Amino acid sequence: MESVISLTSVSRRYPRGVLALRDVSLDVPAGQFVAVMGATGSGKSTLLHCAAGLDRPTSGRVRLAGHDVTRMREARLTRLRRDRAGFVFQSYNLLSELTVRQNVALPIRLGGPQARGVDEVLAQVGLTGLGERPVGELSGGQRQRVAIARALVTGPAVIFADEPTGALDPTTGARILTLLREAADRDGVTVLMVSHDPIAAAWSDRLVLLRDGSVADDGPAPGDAAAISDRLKSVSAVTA
Amino acid sequence: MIRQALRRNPWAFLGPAATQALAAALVTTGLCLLASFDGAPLDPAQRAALTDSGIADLGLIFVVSSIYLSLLIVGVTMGTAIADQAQDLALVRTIGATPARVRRAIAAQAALIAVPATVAGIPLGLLAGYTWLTGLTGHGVVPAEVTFRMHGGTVPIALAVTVGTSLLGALVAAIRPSRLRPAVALTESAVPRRRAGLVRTPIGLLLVAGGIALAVQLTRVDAGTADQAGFFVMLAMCVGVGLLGPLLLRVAAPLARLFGSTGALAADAVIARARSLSGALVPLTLAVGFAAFTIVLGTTTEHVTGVATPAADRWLAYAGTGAYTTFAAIAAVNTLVTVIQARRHDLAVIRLAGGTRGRTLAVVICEALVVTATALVAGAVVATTTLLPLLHTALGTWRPWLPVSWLLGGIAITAVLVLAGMVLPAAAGLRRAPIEVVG
Repeated sequence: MESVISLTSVSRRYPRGVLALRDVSLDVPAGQFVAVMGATGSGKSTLLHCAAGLDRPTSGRVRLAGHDVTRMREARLTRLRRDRAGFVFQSYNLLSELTVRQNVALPIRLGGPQARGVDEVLAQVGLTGLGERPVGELSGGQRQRVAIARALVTGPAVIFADEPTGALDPTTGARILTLLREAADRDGVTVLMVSHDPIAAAWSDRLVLLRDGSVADDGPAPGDAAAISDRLKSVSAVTA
Repeated sequence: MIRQALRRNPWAFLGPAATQALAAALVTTGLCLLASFDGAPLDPAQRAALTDSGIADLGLIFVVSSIYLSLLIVGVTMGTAIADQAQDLALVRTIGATPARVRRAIAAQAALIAVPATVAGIPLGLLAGYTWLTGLTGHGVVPAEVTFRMHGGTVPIALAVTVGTSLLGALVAAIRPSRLRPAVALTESAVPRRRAGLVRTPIGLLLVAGGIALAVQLTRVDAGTADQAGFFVMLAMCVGVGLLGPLLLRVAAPLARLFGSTGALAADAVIARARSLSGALVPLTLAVGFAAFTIVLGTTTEHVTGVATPAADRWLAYAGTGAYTTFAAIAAVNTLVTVIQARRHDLAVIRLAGGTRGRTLAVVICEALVVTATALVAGAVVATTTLLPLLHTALGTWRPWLPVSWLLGGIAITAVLVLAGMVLPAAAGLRRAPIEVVG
């Protein structure tokens, strides 16, 4: 079966000559929860942006949900993202003046497929009864749950999560990670998560460590944060 | 802190600066007319004729209405700019700025913008005054002895008007953000107030009702009185409609749902942003109201009497209205640009959620159409209420007359203005990758 996310020899050089990604190859099968870790500036966000078609690699090839997105036109790429991908960001990226329900329905109103009912996904993320509240009035954890509900409503093949727990306390963060874990286990959604937090990464199936834009380590994720922390240190220590 | 605010969002202050430059220009024009009429070497007969025709008062009327317009429009644009800074203000409150300090900073900012804007506006006003005066003498409206003179107090008076209105507008807008407790301020800036003003709406309704009641009374008096009192009808209606702005937008927004799911998104956005959009609705309504009033009065008079208005009279009426309308229109476009600039993040979020450039722009276009339609209807109501008593008392008709081509032209101009203010900056903002904008 084809990978949901497939990067082949992807490099990304920024205008000022900084090489953020060097020759990265990564294949993620359906339903896998992958955590990408690395020091600040190791290229983990660039990797996520390239894999999600939010940024274009300088060289190499990116396939997303069976489509080559490397040279896909912007409008088609946007529709592919809308229909097959969901996003969860550290800064939530919601429309804070609109209600919870309006935010969750956003991809559908933009023409995306409605795979699941808005109420159903709100129930799944534990926000039943808050549908009419403006997002601006919610707590950080609640906002992130709105973002997950918005990502789930189109029945995506993959969810891209960029530091989803970065702005949350450990308890609230654990609730968000439970939701991502459930999406992978129950709905078969592929999850690609970027994080600097070993506790968050411990929820994943597979751990990819980046150093200076290259994959330094790629293997099954150890189930506990301490082991992840050690592995992260051993990879970063080589740089230092 | 002030410098930082200016650097962070230079666009936000373009609106107030442009409107203040225009306000200074209008005041200067008025003062020039005043000085030129007063200083002209006229014999008593000429002087009496000038006074009788009412043209001698033109300068004064122009100065007074410019001040009134500046208060309204500079206040509105300044309010939008300050509201735009709410987040920054909340932040400086958190790190220890007292409410008084925040107010002082805002006042300094307002003055800082007003001075260069005035310096830019005065030459513009002198030029306009000169052109207008040559037009008046050229058409024989005033004797050739009336030559262009500059009023001695031009600079201080223009500065007083712009700095004064700017300060007043800024301070009124700053009352809320400066008073809030910092903790509340940070959450408030994340959630703009949704409730329609509990004071604002009743006063607005009262003024509109008063305007209509006065208009009804005026249908029973003689033409001269109706003509003079018409100004108060317009005043009450303009201020009333201005106060009702957010409410009107909320009522009109569901219209956008006719355009499917994109329209529904636009409707929600207009309802959520009704307050800031109303900052553009007010000057737009004024522009539509003024222009419609003057033009329809002219065309209906010609239509009913069958006599063409003398070119000189028409020129006189249209030049003044033209200046006011341009002023209001520029203020409206500026405010719209400010509102859209503040929404760059939201537009990027829509794109991240799967909106193509075209579709995201379509949302903004739907919003622009709602604003256009609301301004046209509100402006038409203001103009009609002011006009009907005048038409009835002077011409004995209840039916305003306007050629269809003029009507369509007016609608088109309004739509183009709103689209230019909203869609062009939005399109420019959409050229950047959404992840750059939110990141």
